[in-house]
Amino acid sequence: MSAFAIERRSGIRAILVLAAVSAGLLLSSCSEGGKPGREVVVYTSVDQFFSEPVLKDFEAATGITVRAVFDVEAAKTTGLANRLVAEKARPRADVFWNGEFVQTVRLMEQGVLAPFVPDRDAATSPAGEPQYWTSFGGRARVLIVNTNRLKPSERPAALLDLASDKWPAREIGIAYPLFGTTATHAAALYASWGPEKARGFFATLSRRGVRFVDGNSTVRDLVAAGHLSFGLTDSDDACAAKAKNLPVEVRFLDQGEGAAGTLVIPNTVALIKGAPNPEAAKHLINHLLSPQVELKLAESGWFHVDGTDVIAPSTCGLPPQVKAFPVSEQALANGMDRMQRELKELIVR
Amino acid sequence: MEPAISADAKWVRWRANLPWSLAVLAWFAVVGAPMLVLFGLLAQQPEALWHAAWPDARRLQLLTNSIIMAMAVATACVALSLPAAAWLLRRKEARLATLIWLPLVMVAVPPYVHALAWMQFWQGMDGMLAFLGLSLRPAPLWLKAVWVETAAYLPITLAFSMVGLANNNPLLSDAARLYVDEWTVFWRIRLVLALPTILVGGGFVFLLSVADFSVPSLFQVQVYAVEILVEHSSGVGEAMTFAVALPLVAIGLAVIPLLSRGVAHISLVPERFGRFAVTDHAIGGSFARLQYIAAMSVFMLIVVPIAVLIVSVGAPATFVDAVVQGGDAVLYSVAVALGAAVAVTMLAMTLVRRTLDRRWMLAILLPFAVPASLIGIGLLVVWNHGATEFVFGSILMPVLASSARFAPIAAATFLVYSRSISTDLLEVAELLQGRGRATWWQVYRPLFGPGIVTAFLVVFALSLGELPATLMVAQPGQQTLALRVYNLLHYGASDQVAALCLLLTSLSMAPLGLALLASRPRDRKSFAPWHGRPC
Repeated sequence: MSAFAIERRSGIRAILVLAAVSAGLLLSSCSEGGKPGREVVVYTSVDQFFSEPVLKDFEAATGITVRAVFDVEAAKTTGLANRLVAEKARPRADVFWNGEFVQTVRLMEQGVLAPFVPDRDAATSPAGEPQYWTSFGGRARVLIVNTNRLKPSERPAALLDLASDKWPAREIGIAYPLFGTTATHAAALYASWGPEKARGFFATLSRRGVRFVDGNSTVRDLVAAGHLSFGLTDSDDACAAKAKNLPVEVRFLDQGEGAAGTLVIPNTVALIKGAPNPEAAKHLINHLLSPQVELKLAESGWFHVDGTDVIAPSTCGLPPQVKAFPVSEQALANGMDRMQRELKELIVR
Repeated sequence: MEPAISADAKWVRWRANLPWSLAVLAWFAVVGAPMLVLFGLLAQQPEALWHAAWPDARRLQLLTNSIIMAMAVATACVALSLPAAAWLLRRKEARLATLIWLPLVMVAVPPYVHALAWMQFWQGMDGMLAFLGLSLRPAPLWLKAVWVETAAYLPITLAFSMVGLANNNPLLSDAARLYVDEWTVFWRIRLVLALPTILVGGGFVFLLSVADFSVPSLFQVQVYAVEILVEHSSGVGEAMTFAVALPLVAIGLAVIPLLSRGVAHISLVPERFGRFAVTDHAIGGSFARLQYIAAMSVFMLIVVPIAVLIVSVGAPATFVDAVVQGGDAVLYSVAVALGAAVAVTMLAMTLVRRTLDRRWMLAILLPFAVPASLIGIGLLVVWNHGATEFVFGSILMPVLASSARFAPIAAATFLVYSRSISTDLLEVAELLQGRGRATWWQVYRPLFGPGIVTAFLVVFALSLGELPATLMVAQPGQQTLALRVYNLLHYGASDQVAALCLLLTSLSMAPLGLALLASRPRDRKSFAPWHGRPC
């Protein structure tokens, strides 16, 4: 018997089984879609732990099914933004709910977003100017300190402490300032301090041997586990460790008299251009911008700052007021490319 | 001049070729098309290619770091796997027969979790030593990175090592034993025969390691994969990202022909010999000790992370809670992994007879050189159309993502295994018994069975842990376990992450466990067909 026959036997079986499995999976997937107009597809880089309850509340209140895709920190909050760009010709998402604003600005520049003025801004939005995205709530950049490793008098309080000789560099951690909110922070320093000073700061960190790690949650984990004495991270990461009674203290940066304050990063929400379910999308955006949602996100530990008021849970041990680092969102987004190019040369080597 | 072929003969040939042609088509749709899309995007932006063509000194240094790191990991994996596989294969006890699959349990666990588990273990050891008034000089961070990646990728080289050693032609070794001692037989005959297979496993580990950034960055080792991620996150577009990834693709292009050459050089065994063919010849002395140490190291690489995960879970209620909360994700992940494993194994089976040709082999292995997130983008561009509406946005997309990523591994596993099967045997069986069910059950199943089981289990386990490509095509409203694990990692829910990782390890073994439960006791050994081989 020839090899043809052998191929045929195994081949036909393979195709049959493949077809059966595909059909089974297909059938199972057919029932998963909602009715057009009664569903909304949201892509969000906000942690599922925080965003899912809010989306479920919306479902319960409106009867509109929410189908969410959650980003993960491993994709550096850009996975879904890149997916939205790739889907631009045939959008699948209705709403983009972002945990920061730089990727949102980029999506606007690439023509992925549609203008929409939510109810909250109807009275204040300047006439004639399209509003492509809306910011709300806020997280802050904070220092997370291991309380077993550093006594109260030894604990850092300023951004420049990361570069200080007072602490061994190997015991200090920061996420790569090339992705996510740490990149936003670096771009803010570029915009505020000027490129020379900001680059010099990161050059000092790199030269001293401060540990650049994979992400803000990694900084949190390394500090909480005692591998590092302190590090720079986001308030949601740090407060999550505090809520678990891990031996950490969370401190806003540069809060003293005459100090610059800490960077506050708002969430942003936007309507996708060509969204399959625009009306449901607008409902969802209005819902996300409601005071109840802000309160819920604050209680769950995602939002910590509203203007100068601290709305974090008391378990985090933050002061009631915060001094915010003044920076224009657009200027910051504009300087991102230069910052990434320069710091990549400096740090990834 | 070629003899004329009748229309009937052409029809017969066409029909005979049909399954293979359909399989090639399916392979192209799943694996080839996303790659072509990426090259197409690159062709539209020649400046991206220019950008990639001139890597500066910094990027060259990163590339060098990546290559050294990946070589160290692949070497460590092979060095540990070879003696450990020899030890595992000699386990004759029926109860231990399925032990050979144990290392697979850790395949689905993300390397990042391995890293966290080992860091916790080392910290515990330091604490214990300090308590005893002792201290050790801390190991360099790069060595820790190599160790963790070795732990993460070891199952792959172990599987290939076991296939390589088990498929040795025992008559060759027996003949050699007439003239030389057992150690020389192993060193000069068995190892040489198994080496191409083992190196294929090492090659895969090299390619996986060279593309990973999570573990190196945790240990301060700067690698080229970070450069790709920076480019990807800066929103410069897929063409530019792919251009920056080209040096890694080029490394893949350099390694993959070596892999395919390795497969082509695997010695063909004229027929399979049962365990009766030769008696067991154990090698004593230092090699026996080396085997034992390697086996224990492999055991430790599995047990330590699992033990740390169990400790991190704490109370059993946490495990139950995490499983209940992630119930939908569990079912969805199993469906995706099952779909990918079945599809890819069947495709590999259909393609394998002709892919023994090196050119086909190259084409099949090539996609493994492309970074995973870009495979996801390629799939998105290929399938996001009106005509393919029924595929895009359905569970088939994550299935396609895992299939596209791991099809080369399944194909290579199957290719390697098929080298040990004589077509004479199959042809004789069909001549004597026809092509009915009995032939398939009595001849095909036992001959191809271990290859099918291996390819299936490896792809199933890898698909359970797949993240970067799935993220690009994930179905709205659905979530895989790997996505859930990474989400919880960010939130810092270490107990729930540990619980879900333990669940992943259990699920990766679920198909084998179910098959064992469903089988008769006397057939159970067939799930570990290589055990008890003389090594």
